Amino acid sequence: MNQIADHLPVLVILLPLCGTLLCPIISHFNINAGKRTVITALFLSIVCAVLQLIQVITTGEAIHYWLGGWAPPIGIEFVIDGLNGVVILLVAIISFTTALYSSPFEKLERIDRIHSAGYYSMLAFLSVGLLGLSSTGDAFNLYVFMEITAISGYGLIAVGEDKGPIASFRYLMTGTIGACMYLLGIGFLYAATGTLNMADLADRLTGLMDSPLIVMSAACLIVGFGIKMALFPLHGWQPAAHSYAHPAADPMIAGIMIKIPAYAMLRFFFCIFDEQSHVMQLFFNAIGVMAVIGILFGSLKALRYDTYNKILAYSSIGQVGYIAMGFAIGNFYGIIGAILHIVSHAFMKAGLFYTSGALKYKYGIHDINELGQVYRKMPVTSLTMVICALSMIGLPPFAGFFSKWYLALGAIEKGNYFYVAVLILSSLLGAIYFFRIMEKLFMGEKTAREKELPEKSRFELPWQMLLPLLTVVAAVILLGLFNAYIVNGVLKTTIWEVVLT
Amino acid sequence: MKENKSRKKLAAGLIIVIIAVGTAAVKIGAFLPTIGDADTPANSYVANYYITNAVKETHSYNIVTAVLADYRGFDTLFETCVLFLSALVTMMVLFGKEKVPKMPVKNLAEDKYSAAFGGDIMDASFRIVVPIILIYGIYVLFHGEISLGGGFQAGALIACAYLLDRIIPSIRMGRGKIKEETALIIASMGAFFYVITGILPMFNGGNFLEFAKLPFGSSLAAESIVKLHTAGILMIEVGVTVCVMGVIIAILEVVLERTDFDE
Repeated sequence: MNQIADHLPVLVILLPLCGTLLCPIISHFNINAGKRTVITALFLSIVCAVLQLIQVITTGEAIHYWLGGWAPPIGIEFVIDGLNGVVILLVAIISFTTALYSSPFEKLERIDRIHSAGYYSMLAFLSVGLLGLSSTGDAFNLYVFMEITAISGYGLIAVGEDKGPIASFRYLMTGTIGACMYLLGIGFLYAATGTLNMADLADRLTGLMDSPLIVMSAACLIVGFGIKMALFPLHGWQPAAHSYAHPAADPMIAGIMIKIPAYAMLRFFFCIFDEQSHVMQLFFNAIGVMAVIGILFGSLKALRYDTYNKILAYSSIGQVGYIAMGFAIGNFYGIIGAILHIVSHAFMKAGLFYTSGALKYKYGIHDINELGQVYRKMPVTSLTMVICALSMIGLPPFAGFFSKWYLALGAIEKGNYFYVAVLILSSLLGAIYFFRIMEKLFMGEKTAREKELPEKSRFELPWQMLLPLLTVVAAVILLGLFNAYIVNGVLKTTIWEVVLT
Repeated sequence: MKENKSRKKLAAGLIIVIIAVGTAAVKIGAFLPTIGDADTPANSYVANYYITNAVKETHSYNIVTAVLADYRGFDTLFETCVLFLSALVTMMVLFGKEKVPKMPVKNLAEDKYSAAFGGDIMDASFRIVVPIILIYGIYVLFHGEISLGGGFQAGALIACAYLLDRIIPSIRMGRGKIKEETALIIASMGAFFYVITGILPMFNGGNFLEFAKLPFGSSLAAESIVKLHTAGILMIEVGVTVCVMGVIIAILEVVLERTDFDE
């Protein structure tokens, strides 16, 4: 037992990796066994993530895991502290629920074993990439995981609906530019310091912050992460990709694939660069402008569309803006708001895409005008939709309220009342487009017809689809109710010690 | 007209971006370290450690292999996974496309001269080249630790031999080929072998990919630890070779079956 406890940080990633590599050969013999291997591996990964987070909280110290036994900066290390322990747990939970959620879609499409094995392999690889992105303490290792995330993302978008391949190709082009920019940024950092380990970089960068290499590197990193997290002027790939991706994988793509780069940006800008320096303040102002325009643009664009997925996709552009705004505010409350928003928005957006997938599964609905009276047949789905939407708008006691609250507190503390006005305005816009959906759902006329499903289930949906919906509802409510504990017990010390030093 | 205008705008925008990037590159060039200068931070810190200690610690005379396979072996594991993933994604995307109906073998025999890959002499000589490429591939794999080479190149060479055998028309045409799914499974097993190499030391009290703790040697003498490093590097190179080979074959087969060369 002790031995296993030593290896938790790497086991979180190794288990899904083994699952995904074994999936093709196991599927060759038994189509269901391959799928179950991946789902089991992802579940075990949650267990490891929980144990690891408990270990971090109880000892109060970051776990350092030296891969290959080489001490950093010679080798690569994983660093798990209170902050990314939470993010890893989030990724593990959403990966597992999404994998579980995917299995009824297979029966619907009656697909052969290569498609099934390939789909689950890609899903697990996406999970591996995101887990790696959030665990690693090495700048180049982060690039490798970013590649894994991106390529599996391209695949999952391309196997989606009819326009999937085109959306995927657009993402491929933009995503490659993003990855190149990140690599350039790392190259400049290496040229200036000669190391790739994040903690070591932070040490060796003191006093170098005004060097043109570092300024250029920070600019490249903003573009690189901005493309990956779909920050306002760099969001071009996002709406199509989120609308046409595979409906079962969409919760993961929309929920966490754009949040983890935001977390990585936090690591770089607050842990590696000296955020008090003159140059970084300029960059934070730039991010703030991007965030404000993005928030308003996303909310206004979302009003224009009648397609459910498009509304959600544009709302994501606004919500990523909130996270960036937290970075721009840059004080304790701003960071707390950004991190809480990463976590809570991941659950809310994943939940909304779960409902979108469920509607496609049962009725084949894309348009919100067809939603009328669906709630009579699908109470749990409608409940999830309502709770997640209310949380997105920012009503207490749901999770979305508290992240916006912390952001507003941070903005007030900094004396920047403009941000507060933007927050309130965009919440009102959010209320308009979400209440429009709810109005159609509860008051519209019944138009949708049920599809022929391969097997009858006792509930409104198969249990594999209900469980993720309920998990998300529970998470949104619990994150709202217990956010004081999460902030004080888990995040507070890490933020003061690691981020704001 | 409208389209023309927007294109002109796009072109103007692109030119501005290119000029901006070019100016930035020229400005930044002056601050980048000089190539080969031993005093720059890029060359004097971690890189210097590798140059001084790599041979002693990993027993790999090729420092590139030492860094790639030992010091930063974890990166290489995921680079291998990126390759596997690329094959997987290619397959998944192209499966939507219909297969080209196979030409009957009989037709091919009659049509032999026009179907030849590069004329009779080329075909015959390429058949002689195939075994030589295979031998060279194996040599590159096992010699990667000492001189240039390694798993990625060896895998590409072996797949290249298969490719030649596959596209040169012969009586065996279509019979000796590997199925796409089999190729994908081979690739996944190659990457899995890499993971296994990393997991083995974990049962012996080491970290993931810590070759010094591979459970093969019993003595703790410095010599045997160095040999364990050699064994570990060789094992992962074999895994990489198998994976790269499977990936290239899988992509090749998927594309070949869906391309009509006669058109």
